[in-house]
Amino acid sequence: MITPLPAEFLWVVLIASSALIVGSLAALLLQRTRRHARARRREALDAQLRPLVLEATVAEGDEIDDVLERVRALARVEREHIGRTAYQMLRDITGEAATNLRAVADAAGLVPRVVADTRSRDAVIRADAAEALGLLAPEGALERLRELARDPSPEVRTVAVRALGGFDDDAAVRSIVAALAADSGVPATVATTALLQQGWAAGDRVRLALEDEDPSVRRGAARVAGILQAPGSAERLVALVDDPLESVRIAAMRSLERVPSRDAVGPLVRAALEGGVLGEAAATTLLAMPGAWTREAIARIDHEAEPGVRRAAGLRRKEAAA
Amino acid sequence: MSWDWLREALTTFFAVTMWPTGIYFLLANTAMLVLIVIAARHFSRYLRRSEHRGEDAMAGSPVSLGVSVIMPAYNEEAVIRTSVRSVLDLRYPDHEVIVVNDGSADATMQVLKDAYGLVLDDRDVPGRIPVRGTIRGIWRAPDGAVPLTVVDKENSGRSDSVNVGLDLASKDLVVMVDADSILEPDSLLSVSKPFADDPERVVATGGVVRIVNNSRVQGGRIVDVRMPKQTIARIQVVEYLRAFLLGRTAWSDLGALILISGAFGMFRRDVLIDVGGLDPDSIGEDFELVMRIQKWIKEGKRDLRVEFVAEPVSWTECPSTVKVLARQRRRWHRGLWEVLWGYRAMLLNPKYGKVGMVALPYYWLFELFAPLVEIAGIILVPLGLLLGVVDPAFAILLIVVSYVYGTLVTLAAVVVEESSFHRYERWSDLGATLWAVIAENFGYRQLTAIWRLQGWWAGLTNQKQVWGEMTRAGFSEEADEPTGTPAR
Repeated sequence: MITPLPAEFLWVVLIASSALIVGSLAALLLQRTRRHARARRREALDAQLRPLVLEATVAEGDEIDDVLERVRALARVEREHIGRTAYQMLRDITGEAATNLRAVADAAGLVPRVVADTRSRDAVIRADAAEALGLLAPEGALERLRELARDPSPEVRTVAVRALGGFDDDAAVRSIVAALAADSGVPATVATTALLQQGWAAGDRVRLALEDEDPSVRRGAARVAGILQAPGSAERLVALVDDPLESVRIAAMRSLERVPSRDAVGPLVRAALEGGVLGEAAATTLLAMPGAWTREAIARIDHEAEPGVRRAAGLRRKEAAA
Repeated sequence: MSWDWLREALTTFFAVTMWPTGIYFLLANTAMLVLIVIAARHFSRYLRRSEHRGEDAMAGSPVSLGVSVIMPAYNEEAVIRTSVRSVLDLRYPDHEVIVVNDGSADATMQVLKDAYGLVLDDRDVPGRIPVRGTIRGIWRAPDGAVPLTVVDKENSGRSDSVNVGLDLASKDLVVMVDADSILEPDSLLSVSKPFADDPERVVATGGVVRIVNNSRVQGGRIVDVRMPKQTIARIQVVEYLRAFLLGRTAWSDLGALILISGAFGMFRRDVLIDVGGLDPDSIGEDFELVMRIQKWIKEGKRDLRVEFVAEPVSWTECPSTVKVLARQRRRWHRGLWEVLWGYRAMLLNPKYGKVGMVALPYYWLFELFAPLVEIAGIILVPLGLLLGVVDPAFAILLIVVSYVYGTLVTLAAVVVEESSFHRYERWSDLGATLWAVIAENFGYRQLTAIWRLQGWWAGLTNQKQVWGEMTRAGFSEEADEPTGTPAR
């Protein structure tokens, strides 16, 4: 008679597995019970404190001082909850209501905690703090965020650069442009989005960045130059249509859709005839330009370009046209 | 008649396979347990960062990478309008939708024409990807008011339809979705985030697909997540959790993800065109595509990655009848076999890194061969008992251990889900989940093992693959069971 494995071994596996199953079930029930209890506590605090937060949101003039006094008089748990509520609401609210909510968060004691967290050893806590600094914008936040934009952790740098987008200041713009560099560790989308938040304030720096030695900086600047309508950028964007790096060329072409220049037509036609993604981007840009500038260019594309480029230029199928 | 020869054969068989089988059983479950632990660690890191992930900033950013959503549709008149609307309404700054009507015999095309007042688009067709189905016409929403293109073509299958859509896509990223799937409002943001964070290196991402059966749907959105009513569908919820959510998260973390679900995968368009799009002859076309991309990455010594996004993004109907489930599992396993066999040169080949040395051996051993081992055990152990070759007490112990250990692994997956995304909030749903964890062992596992073997056999004998007919009632606005399955 055969016993494939020592029975003792199977018993050990069975007992260990059974014990772990019981443990898992207990963990499952405990987790759910605790989560539901936490949700109930939050709901109760919400019902109690939300009217106060809403009152703060619509307060005008001196009315806010009275609300802030009442916030300061709350118990610690309540202050923490109200601070958290105000903070969450700040993600969706702007203007005077946002200023009031920031004051509520400050009165609830959130700001000192956030500032202290920016010096935490844990990168995730520092990143959370950078996010909060951007939303709460307390005094000194800009300087602290610029420091965090040079943090050893790329995660913290990324959040800090994103937060800097909300500070209308040339120092913030400089930090953001620096984050466009290839070795910054900050995703280009984050830095360029932050630049866009700066609006016109970033225009001059973006124009200069279009001539940067680092192709990543040129690409980032090219992506936003058109949207920002940065003054004097069209000429530089035309030059970038012939950049050595394809992604820079495509970024420049897409920007030229918004800041069209007649000088771009020649380089764009050449790019269109190269075909591929580049050619499609060039054709799309030409299509967005005034017809009087591009009539001959489109005719050339009609005869010489590959079908994908012809489609991007809005040209009909040959058989359909016939 | 003497049964001595059989007794002797079984004795020899058990003597030879004694240790390998024991080790196989332990390794298979332990490997899954390890994957679950890796996924749990990943979720913990991911959720800790939820405060500063910055998806809101991305949602409003005009510099986000554009996305072309390709939706092949075959006889989808019941759901197509809701599906297209819900995809158009996704929160993303720059996306277009390309519906490819794959020669539907119903009114899918007419529903779209009526809903969006489509006009003919006679612009040139790029032709970068070879396609089989003849295009009858390309339509688009008038004046570009809605970023919608609809291609009407002859029936040529899902893969070919996706390739048609890919050829017409104009954005940097391409995502393939099934018309019967429901996407979370932030799904494009979640799945495109790895591309935004690391645009130079990420070439493909897969999103989590969850089961929608019995959940409440309103206006193409899930408003109340519920466990399905039928046990067969409940078990699939648990299966999806274990294998898709946790398994794939772990493989992604290990840098060896080789399978992205066809129901929700995002790719860099230039890469997809470079590798030639989907293989229309492949049954496991989504698996085959990711394998081809991984091969392309490794052979070109490219520093590129395929990632999985654990955030729930897509909800799909699962089979709620045994017949349809059987068909699905046969197809899946046949696809698995054909792809693994097709890419056998990568197996245990150090040139392909973790994909060749870790992921593929796992898939061969614990995915492809698993049903064979399971069915062999189901047949041979009782036979051994009957012939007195196996000790009855020991056999019972072995069976109990294998099911208890398997239950532990599945329960671990449920615990991780509970501590991370906890999408099923009702106590009754938890009860249903736990019931499914146990019920899976009694009949379901054995049946799926048989179907998987049948699929494998069909692949080995090169039988013609037959797609089932689709029956769909659409997503009920007041929940209840949506019928039909993604089987074509």
